[in-house]
Amino acid sequence: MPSVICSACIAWSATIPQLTGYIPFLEPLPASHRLWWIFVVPLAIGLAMAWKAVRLPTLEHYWRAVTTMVVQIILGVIGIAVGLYVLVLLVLPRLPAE
Amino acid sequence: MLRGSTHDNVKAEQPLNFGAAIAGWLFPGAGQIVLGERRRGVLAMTGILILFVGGLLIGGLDCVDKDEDRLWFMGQAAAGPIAFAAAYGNEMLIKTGRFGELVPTPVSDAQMRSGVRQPKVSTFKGLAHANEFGTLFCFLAGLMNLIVILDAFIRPRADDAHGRRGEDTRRTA
Repeated sequence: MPSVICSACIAWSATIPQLTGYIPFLEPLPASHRLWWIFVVPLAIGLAMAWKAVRLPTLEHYWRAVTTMVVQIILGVIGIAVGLYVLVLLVLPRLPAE
Repeated sequence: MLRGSTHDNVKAEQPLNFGAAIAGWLFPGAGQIVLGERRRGVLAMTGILILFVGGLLIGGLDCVDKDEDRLWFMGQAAAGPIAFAAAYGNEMLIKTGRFGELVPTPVSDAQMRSGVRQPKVSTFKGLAHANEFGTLFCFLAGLMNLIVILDAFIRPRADDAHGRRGEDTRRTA
């Protein structure tokens, strides 16, 4: 029975790349060039989980602290993006050339 | 004042945990687990692995490269043996052409005239956003693990901490 499951797994892992043309962990994520901005969410979650795990004196309100930090990071990144958009596309073009 | 001086005394007595720091480098969060803070260690480990595994998923194995991205790798190496395993996997599986295909890269006319051999790169090599984010995720995993290792290095053992907390309470009372 285990050998049957093993062969099925090997067959499955060999078939998937042929169907989708994508091998996870070996080649880059196919949709990453379009959806790169969404990566800020797992980035913020990973950072907040590791940071709050070592910084909180007790882990009683751990998930609440993690959620707050994730929201803060995402809002911070959005704020920087809006600020840079305004600076580069609205403020700088209005400045005199000389 | 009394509380401050007691806290300073406790800090001065606190031994440094070399073993926990090494365990933390060998696997993220293991330092806290060694010190008896199992839940804290598992949560830190999960956060760091989300970053590292997420980076490998986004950028592929190519985003951990100790030859081409040496400076990035210095930070990634703080994540421990998993970073070295990823770099080894990159060399063995992608750079050798075992997976994907090795294709020649264009060389300039000057290089062609000077007889430079056309370098080959894998078709699995990450480019642009995928490579940038993958490299950044793995780098941040290394930096966060450095913080977790330093925490394990100076953190009192779970049983000692409870004892000392009791002592503090008694003294301040």
